[in-house]
Amino acid sequence: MEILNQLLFGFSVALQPMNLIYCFFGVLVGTLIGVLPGVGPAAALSLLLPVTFHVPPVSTIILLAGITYGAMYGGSTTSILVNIPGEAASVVTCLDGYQMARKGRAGPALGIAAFGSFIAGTITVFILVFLAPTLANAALKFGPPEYFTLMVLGLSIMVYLARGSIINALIMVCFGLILGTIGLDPMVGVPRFVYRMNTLMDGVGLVQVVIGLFGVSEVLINVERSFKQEEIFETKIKGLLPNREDWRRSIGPIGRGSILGFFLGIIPGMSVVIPTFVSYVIEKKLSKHPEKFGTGMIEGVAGPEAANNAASTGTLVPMLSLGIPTGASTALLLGALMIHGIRPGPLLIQDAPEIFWGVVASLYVGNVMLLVLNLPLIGLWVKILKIPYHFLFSLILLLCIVGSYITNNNPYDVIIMVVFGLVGYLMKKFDYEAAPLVLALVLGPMMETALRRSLVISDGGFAIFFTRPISASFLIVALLVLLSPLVLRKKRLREELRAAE
Amino acid sequence: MRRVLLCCNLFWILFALITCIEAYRLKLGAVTKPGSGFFPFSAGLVMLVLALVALMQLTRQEKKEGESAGREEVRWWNIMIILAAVGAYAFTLETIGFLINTFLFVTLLLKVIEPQSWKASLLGGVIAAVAANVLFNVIFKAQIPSGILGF
Amino acid sequence: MHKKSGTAIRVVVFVALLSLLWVSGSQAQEYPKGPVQIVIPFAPGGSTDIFWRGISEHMAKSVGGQIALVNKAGGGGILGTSFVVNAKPDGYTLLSANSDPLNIAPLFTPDAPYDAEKDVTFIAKLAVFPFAITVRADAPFKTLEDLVAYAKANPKKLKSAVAGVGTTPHMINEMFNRDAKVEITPVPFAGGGECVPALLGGHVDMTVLSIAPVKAQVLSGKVRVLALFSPTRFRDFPQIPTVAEKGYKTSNIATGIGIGGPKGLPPAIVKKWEDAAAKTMKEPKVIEIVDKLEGLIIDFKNGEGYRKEVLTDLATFKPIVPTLTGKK
Repeated sequence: MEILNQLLFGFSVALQPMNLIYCFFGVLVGTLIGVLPGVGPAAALSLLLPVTFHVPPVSTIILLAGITYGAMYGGSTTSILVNIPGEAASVVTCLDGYQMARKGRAGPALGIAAFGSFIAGTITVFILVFLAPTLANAALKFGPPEYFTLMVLGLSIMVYLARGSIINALIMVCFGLILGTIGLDPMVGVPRFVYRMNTLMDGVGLVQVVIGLFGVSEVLINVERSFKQEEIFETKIKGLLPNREDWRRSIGPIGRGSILGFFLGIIPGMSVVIPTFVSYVIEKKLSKHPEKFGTGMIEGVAGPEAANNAASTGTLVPMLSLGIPTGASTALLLGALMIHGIRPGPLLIQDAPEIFWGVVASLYVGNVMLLVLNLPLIGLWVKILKIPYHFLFSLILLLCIVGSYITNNNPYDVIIMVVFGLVGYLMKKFDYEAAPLVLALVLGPMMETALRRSLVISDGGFAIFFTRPISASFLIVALLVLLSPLVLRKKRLREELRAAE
Repeated sequence: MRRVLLCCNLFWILFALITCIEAYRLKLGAVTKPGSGFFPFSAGLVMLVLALVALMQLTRQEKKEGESAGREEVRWWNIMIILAAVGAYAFTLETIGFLINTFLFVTLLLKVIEPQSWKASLLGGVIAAVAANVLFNVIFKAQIPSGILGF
Repeated sequence: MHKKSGTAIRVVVFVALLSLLWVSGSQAQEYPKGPVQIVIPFAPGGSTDIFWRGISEHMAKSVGGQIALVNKAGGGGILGTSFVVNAKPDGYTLLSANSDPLNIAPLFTPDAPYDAEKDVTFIAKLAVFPFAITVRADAPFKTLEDLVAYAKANPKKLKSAVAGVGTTPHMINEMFNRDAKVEITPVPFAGGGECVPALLGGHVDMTVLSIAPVKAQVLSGKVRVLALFSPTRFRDFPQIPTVAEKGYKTSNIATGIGIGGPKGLPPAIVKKWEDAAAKTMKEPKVIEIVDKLEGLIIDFKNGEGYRKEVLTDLATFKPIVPTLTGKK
């Protein structure tokens, strides 16, 4: 069992006291930074990158891995407590997590998020160990046509995301698609819908939109009428950790989310946001009470949180086994490694096995550290909700403002947040949902780019989507997904007719 | 409520039309070689159709009786003030600086939205400003601007 | 009631007085008196960002002050650059002056918010990113000549993944087409990181991108670099020629990284940074770091030299842009 030996060797490196301290520090800083909305793992990593120059290589990775996981988890904390997504990947956690907090169940929500992330991390690190190179090579088969059809599939499942009127949800999707085109055209470089507002040149900014749509609008809704503390947050805290019932309901979603998140995360360039949405929709579809999603169903937190963490591990696969950075965080990790003279890629396992296995082991240790650090903090977080809302809401707004501002030190980003805060408020009042909008905003640009690239590669032919096996299968599944409600309805009609006779 | 919903759909129709027009100006290209405007135009078109359908559905729906749902006083002023305060915060941040700006912001909100006493408001403002500054500028070294007065 | 508000007023006054002390206290040193903001007009994690994070400590020592790196990404570098262009020319807001946002990206935007000739003070050039024409190891092209011959025989057949739109790779692909009289179709991707999977997966035939994302693949033998767009051969790959050596002089352009500032910067401050930069880029530690970053070549030029270079390239690029925007 060669691999097991290597792994143990890796652990012996990762568990050295100094490295444990680095890990703890990384997770701590990562969590704190992740709690700040708008600051995701990439920003956290870039802040601490210079620190790593004075630190030995393996410890650097351990530190950075800790930060990444911490930041991922920190994002969920604010999503659950105050409906502010820490980063786009935490948006889905808001949907049910925050509702749980309102019912006094913030503790279990935070707990299942932590445990879910931990379990997902554990499972995926093991898959990574055994399958990394194979998976990476398989992932290379994903070209623009596969991306496009995958996005089409992603949008089609959106149909199941909607809680209320389907037409309104679809309008939101269109709205999101249109908003996604604001900025520089990704294929040609000319500005679209920018109207000389330089801030818009890179698009509206997912972070600002999301903070406005969820965080700010929630404050506005609560404040529009005179309120009592109990109306907003149930004062009696019902438990700090998930109980047995919670676990029973969550174990399935966690498992599914992990697998789903990991395999989607491997695809180079895949946003971590998408697996969370997919997980949510799947859990909703599989649940016996899909209509209750959005009111505080723990499955809606467990699945996406697991998917989130699993996808992050997934993004490491191309980076470690091929040396290709597929996003800002992996690019920073890659840069940090390079500065230390480590070159991830096909040769890494051969040339520097202690690094590779040390990294793998540290990923796992990072997960454990996350749990150890954050579970005790749950009690603290929950107490925050007891702050009188007339004071708390201004702090929440402050958090939103800093979060929007800090990515680019640009005050206009805050204005965008304000605009979407208003939009989100109006949407809440008139029964338009935010989740489809966010999904479309993320998917839209990717879909358009993939489509146009595919057409350049195929010199204008649409056959390319059907002749390539992976791409064709996505299209077939999408078709099935879209048609299934019709089929089901026919079935139900037939049954009703039969019953009536 | 129904009237408001009608307005919403009219808004979407307008939005969709403007989008389509602007997208058209960006050059649509051909279906085999989409230009910059292709995607937004299509999305706008679909939105237009959807909004029209929704509008038709609404007009066909009979007017429900006693529709005014629980009309507790909606305090529009609060909403406006909050949005304006956040906007003002954004613009004054780089001149006034994080510490003072936060102080003013929180104090204002405490006093106006759910009125507290002057002492409580100012105290709240100071606590929030100092804590936030320590947290962001010192611990995170986030470099939020110090403004003219240097802090 | 009066007593209570009295306390609050006292607190405010106290804090205000403290601030005056703080401000006056720091008058003692000369420039730079406090941290100098260097704006990186790209998102964290990019090559430029990592480069700066690697050298900022050394640069700060050379100039005798502190450097605070700030990211302001957007519009291919336009957002951050325009921020610095509009800042006060007091030497506390400087720019990581990459050449792309100065001489390429604005050509794609009808209302570019600045003019590289008039609005920018060039302080120094630090390094270049050379770009590489790369193909898969199993491709039939062993040399650049093979590629060009094939391309001439099959116009528009070859698809090349280019790293970015409104960036140097985007430009030089077109310029190479003109130089070599071929028609290689560019397929824009968001950055080098996305080009590599596209090449490896067989979705495109070749790619033009910076070296860093592709070096691991070269060393493991999965891809082959046919030629470099670079002022000199790359130290780690001495056998790879530059396109200039092969006769394509016009398209041999690489992206530069430098330091810049708003117009009107006092010459004394410019000189100080120029000297500091020259000193830093010669330090062995810095050379080591840049080496490790794989994909950058140190290429120091003073402010005037950089300015000439950027503006010359700007003139070269201007007539080409309409082809790129109009064709699509």
